Amino acid sequence: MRKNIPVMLIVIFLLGGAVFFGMNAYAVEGSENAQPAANDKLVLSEVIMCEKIVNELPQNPSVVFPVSVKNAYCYTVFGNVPEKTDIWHRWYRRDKLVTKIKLVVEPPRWATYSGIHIRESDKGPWRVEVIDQEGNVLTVKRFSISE
Amino acid sequence: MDNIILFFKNLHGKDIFDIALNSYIIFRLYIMFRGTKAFQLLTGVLGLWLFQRFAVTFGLVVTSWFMQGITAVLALVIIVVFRSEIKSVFQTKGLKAFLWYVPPEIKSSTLETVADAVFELSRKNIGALIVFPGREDISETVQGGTNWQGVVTKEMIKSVFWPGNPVHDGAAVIEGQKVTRVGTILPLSQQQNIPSIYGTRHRAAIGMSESTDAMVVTVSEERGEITTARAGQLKTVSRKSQLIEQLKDHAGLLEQGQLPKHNSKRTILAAVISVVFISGLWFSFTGGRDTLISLQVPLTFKHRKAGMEIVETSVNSVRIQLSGSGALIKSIRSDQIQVSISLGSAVAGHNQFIIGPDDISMPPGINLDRVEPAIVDIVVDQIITREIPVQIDWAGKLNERFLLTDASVEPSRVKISGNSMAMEKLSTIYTQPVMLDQILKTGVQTIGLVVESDFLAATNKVKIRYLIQERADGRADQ
Repeated sequence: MRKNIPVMLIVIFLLGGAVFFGMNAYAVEGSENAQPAANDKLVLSEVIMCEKIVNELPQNPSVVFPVSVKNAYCYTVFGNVPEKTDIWHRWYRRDKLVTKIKLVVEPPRWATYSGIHIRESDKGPWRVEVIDQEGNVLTVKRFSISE
Repeated sequence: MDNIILFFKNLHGKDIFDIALNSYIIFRLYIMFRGTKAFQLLTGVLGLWLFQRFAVTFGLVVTSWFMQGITAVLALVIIVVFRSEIKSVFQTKGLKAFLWYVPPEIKSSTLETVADAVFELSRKNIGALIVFPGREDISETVQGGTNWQGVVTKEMIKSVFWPGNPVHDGAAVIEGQKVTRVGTILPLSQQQNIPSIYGTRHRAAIGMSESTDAMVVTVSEERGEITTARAGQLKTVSRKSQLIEQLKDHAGLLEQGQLPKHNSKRTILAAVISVVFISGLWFSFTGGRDTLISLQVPLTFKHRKAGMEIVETSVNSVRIQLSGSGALIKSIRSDQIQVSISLGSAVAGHNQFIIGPDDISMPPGINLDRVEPAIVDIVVDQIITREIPVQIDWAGKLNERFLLTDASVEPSRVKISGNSMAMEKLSTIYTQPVMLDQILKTGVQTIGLVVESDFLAATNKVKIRYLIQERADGRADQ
């Protein structure tokens, strides 16, 4: 038994290290994709600007949208939705509000999107602000419409 | 008559003070210089100047020009010739005495001691010559002698003139309570009509009183007769009280009540003349009546706090109506009038200021009648600094084979300073256009920021990173 002690210590050490590494990876994943989870709080996990939505999923994520792609979408995923609530996508072109789109999100997780039809005159820098029911800006995504 | 009524009507408090102050200065100058030769000449110069002013008023060109020349030359002559007299007046009197009467240092008891000694010398037929300087400096007039500096006593005066004393032949000088010099030689008078009974001692006494404003007391060795010499005139003194009175008068020790009536009247007359003269001068200068003038004056601002900016003002200039004498109004230059509003109490946003006399600077003697508009609205703002997000301004056309999937800016926010109202509207700082045409692969670029002139950025350049991927579906428009 005494001979096994060093082996056991090594096993314990390796197990402990593995647990620590896994938690860290989860935290990184969490920090990249979502705000810390809280059951009573609306959590925005992911925001993607994309060229199209196919089967309710974003396609061709991009920060530059040529006029030729005709549409630009803002796809948002809420990792935690405590209750049915409204959110808004505010679309700005050069700091000027162009449109404000109201969307509904429902518990427990929800993905939703809004889009704009791109015209030739829309070229320039844009941003989309995701706003909750209280008017808090949850995130800002910046993109451009180009030739 | 109308002019006189107008004169009194237009007199303001400060004008009365102005006249009173200058009248008093003139009066005090008279008090200090009266009896001196310089004063007589000054009176003459003043007369000439007044004559010249009349000549100007009546348009006598040559006369006024001539009088002006003579007045200027005479004024210069007075200063040069009577420099020592003028100097002694100011030196002996000083500013304090100039502003108000200061009793002389000579004490009444000293003069009584001198009188006692003089009469004792007279009784014993001992000759004496005593000089009492006036306002003028006599150091250049008296010659030789010995410095003495002894406190006046009867015995000392007697001993100075005792025939056995080596200095008994000269004159003694008494200043204040001291015998300052003995055995001095006085200038002899050149008068031809001095009675033959008077010898060298009396001639010297007359000469000294002619040359200076000093009073000289002489005791005749032959007759024991006491005489006083003032302004070249000899007077025989028979009683001690008479001598004391003359000495006191010379020293200015006579009380107001004891002043001879003609002296007091003359002083009052001088005071009245001073007031009338200055009033006339003021009236001739101001013209007695008010003239109005309207000026458009630009607004300036003072006491602006650090970082405060004036965003807007309801007016940039105000119309000011001023009044005053014609001469003063005509001489006003535009740069002499300034309207300066203090922003010390201003707060960021809308402020209202009432322009009052304190905000307007103008030459003395000018009155402020009206300001239009009297109320000025000023919008001020405070300079603030905020961190503003930076956004890449993509321009041109990206190759259709590629997708620009991600981009980031370093730093993502930059510190921008500007007035708070403009900063309120500023939500994004954009980079200079980044040309997509030249981008074919993932990369990094340093690019400048577009910062409007109203703002100041902590940094002018940022680094951008971008990620290029080939489209899975080929072309962008598919």
